[in-house]
Amino acid sequence: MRFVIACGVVAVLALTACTGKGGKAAQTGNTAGSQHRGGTLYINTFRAYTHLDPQQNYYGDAISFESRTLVRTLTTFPAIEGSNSTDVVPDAATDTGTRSVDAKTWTFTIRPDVKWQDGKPVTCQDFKYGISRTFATDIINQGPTYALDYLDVPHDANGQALYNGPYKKSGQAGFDKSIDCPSPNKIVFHLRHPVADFNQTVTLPAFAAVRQDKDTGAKYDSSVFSDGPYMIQGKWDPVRGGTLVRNPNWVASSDDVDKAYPDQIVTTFGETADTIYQKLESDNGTAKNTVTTTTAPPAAVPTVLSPAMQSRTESVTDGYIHYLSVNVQKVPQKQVRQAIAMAVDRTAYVTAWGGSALGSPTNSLISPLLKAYTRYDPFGVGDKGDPVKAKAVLQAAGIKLPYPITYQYPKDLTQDKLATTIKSELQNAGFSVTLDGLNADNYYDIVANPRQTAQVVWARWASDWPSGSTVIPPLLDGRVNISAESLGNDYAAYNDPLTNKAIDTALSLTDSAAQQQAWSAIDQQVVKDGVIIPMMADKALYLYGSNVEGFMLNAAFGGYVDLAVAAVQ
Amino acid sequence: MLRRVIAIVIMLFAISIVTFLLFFAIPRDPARLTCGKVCTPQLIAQNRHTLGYDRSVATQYRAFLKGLVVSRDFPDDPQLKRTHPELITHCRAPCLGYSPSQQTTVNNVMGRAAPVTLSLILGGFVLWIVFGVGLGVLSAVRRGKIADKVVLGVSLIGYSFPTFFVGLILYNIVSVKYGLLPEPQYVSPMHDPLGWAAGMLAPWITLALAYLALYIRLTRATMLDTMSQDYIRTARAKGLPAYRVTFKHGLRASLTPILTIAALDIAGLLGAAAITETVFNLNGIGQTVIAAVKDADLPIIVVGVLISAAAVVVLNLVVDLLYGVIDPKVRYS
Repeated sequence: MRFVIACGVVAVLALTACTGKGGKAAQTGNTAGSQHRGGTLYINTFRAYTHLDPQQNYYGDAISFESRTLVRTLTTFPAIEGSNSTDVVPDAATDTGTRSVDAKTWTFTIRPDVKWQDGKPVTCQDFKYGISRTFATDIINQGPTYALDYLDVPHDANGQALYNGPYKKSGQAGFDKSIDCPSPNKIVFHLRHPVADFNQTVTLPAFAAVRQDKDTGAKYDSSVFSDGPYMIQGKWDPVRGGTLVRNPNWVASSDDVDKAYPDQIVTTFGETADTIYQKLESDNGTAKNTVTTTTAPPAAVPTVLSPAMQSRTESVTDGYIHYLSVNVQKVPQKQVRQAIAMAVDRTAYVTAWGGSALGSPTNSLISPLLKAYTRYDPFGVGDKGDPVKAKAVLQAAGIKLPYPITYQYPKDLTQDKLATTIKSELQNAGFSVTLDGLNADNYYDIVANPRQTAQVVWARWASDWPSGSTVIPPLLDGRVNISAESLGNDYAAYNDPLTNKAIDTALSLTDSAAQQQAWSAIDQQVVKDGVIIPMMADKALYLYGSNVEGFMLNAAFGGYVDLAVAAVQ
Repeated sequence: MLRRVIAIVIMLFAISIVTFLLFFAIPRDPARLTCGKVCTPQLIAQNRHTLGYDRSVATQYRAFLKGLVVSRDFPDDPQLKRTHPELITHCRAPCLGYSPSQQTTVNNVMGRAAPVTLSLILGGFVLWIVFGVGLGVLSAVRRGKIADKVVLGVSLIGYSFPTFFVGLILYNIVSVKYGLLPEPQYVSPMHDPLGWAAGMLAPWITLALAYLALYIRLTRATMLDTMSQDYIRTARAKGLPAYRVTFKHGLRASLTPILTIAALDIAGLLGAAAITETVFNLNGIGQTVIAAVKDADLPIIVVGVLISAAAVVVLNLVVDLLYGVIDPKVRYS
């Protein structure tokens, strides 16, 4: 009898081990290796990957795509889930770099087996040339501009780099000194100021190598020369995309992260999100081998979350933080700003946004994915807020009620719902709220315009790499954002000398842990001041085809599907 | 005739000028849009200069006109052309401009998009005229009977739904979910005529449904009116077969008002075609121009508007000439 039971137990255990859900199997990361080699993976997504030129690429989905296919960087993020996913690992380099004590000099050794698609090795000169293209701002003007600020190139009195790129070469000597190539596979960066997280900065394709003899300037998007596991077949169309095939000169053992399972990757761009998700749900034909980087539209969410689709669904906190920005010039009294912060209900926001599959309440401008994140409750009202307490604060400060507030947001159905809930919460706290829903296409033009922006505006932000240094300074340093015509990304018009000093100090810290703590301190300061009201950490929700294996979402790369480990049956 | 052609040319110039003026009158900064995530004022100014938007509207318009007869280089930098010719895009005359969002000449963009839109419009037009007139005749001939009521009722349903709604239903539900229509896509009719027709079927139906009801009713009403005329009674009395009476005598007389309305509807057709292209992701002129408006890509917008205007005008001219064919009383001397 016991023998029979024992056999039964073994059989059941064996069965559950074999039928684990396809998506979850990838949680052990790229060591799982149950994926098949070969076949064609289709990417069907709405927004085109227009700029594959690494120095022009500034969109998360396109960066995630090309970082795993065409462009190797010195370091990258691993294809794993969990809290270690934001720790850099080597890609084209042998390790994650060595730095001087003052974090102004960074040295990397390039692996000798990293090769271009014509078999030539990738050298320090190639990296140097690629990075120099960022300085040609008359031709290369869409991508991240960190190189302009970080590299020790002579600058003029206004802080502009005195180098205009490798095409016109004015100031070339100054640039050449900022990056040394002591040997073809050793690269030394000389930075203008300490950058404690520079080995995260170089994960950006903007710091990738480009072959000078293959460069075509503004046209390079259509013919990127690859050093990754795939290469472009023919030409890449900025509107329609194209096909990637295997790069015959990519050495698999040179790459610890990328497995490159599919033989081909084919893209389709431009279909509406509803159509994409209808095709994925119906799961016919090529849809079985399809993934998307378009998150599920509201109409499709109930179906995507239904039990029938569960084995083909994934969601992840994607790094975007939704927040309300309160303009310190239009709302100069701190208590009023704090009352707004106290009155809003983050849990209601998440519900109106679409529920817990699409977001979670948050208290910080810094994403929970980042090491700089801290959980705190500045006003003691928790996530739900407390309009009564907010009203008491206003009355105690002698503010005349109702206090008129205008709230601007980009208009669509979901945002209208959010605005309505925010309005009622604020009105319960003694505000009179005017809603101003703006056209989504020129929303940021208006909210960045000092004359047109409202007291409270909706905004969202994601870091460029998982560090507070790409959250706090871009949003809160008034010196780089504010001009007569524009507030830049600082919709609050916040330009506090003490905060600016704290930002400068944080940037100069060479200890990464200490630096992240410094960012957190500034974050807590502005949240306590009611300047920034963090609302929600966004989650992306995706459906994928039934033949897709090893599907995982990489939070460090914007929460998109990680092509390093994706495969098809 | 010559007067008419001259008038058309003048009108196209006027439209192009208005488009330029309107583009710069809107409160958006096109240079800021092409700037990316971290947009310093210097970068915006640089963009503006690269795109040519920092020059006066008159200068930009002159450059556009010049390009129609003289070839242009983008970027227009002689020093760069000497040192790095591989960076320059050469646009042979007639050059319609350079699209920053698509990184190629507008000639290339429109060259690829035009056959798609042409396929869509012609197919849709044929469908709605054939079925509109055909079903209208059926309705008129079977007036009051079941066929008449069914045709009128169903056509009204199709007419009352907006184009994008019909398109989404046909694509997502009818084609993807139930597989009852072939996958909508554009393939060149030169390479694969059957594939072309199959791929365009859902878009054609979408476009045609927008106008079908009107033409059914119009044909029906005009036919009923015509068929009650005395000369029709005479034709019948003379013993002519019914189909001859209906088509040669009845329908032919009814065609004039139908064609008049068709000429007017062609302008709206381009708008409906743009929506259809976007829903079915066909990358035609309409979808391209809509995307260009979003991206503030002036060169595409200008040429797109001009093509639409030219199409409306030319098609109207064609219809007017057709009048001369069907109605001998109206002929161009």
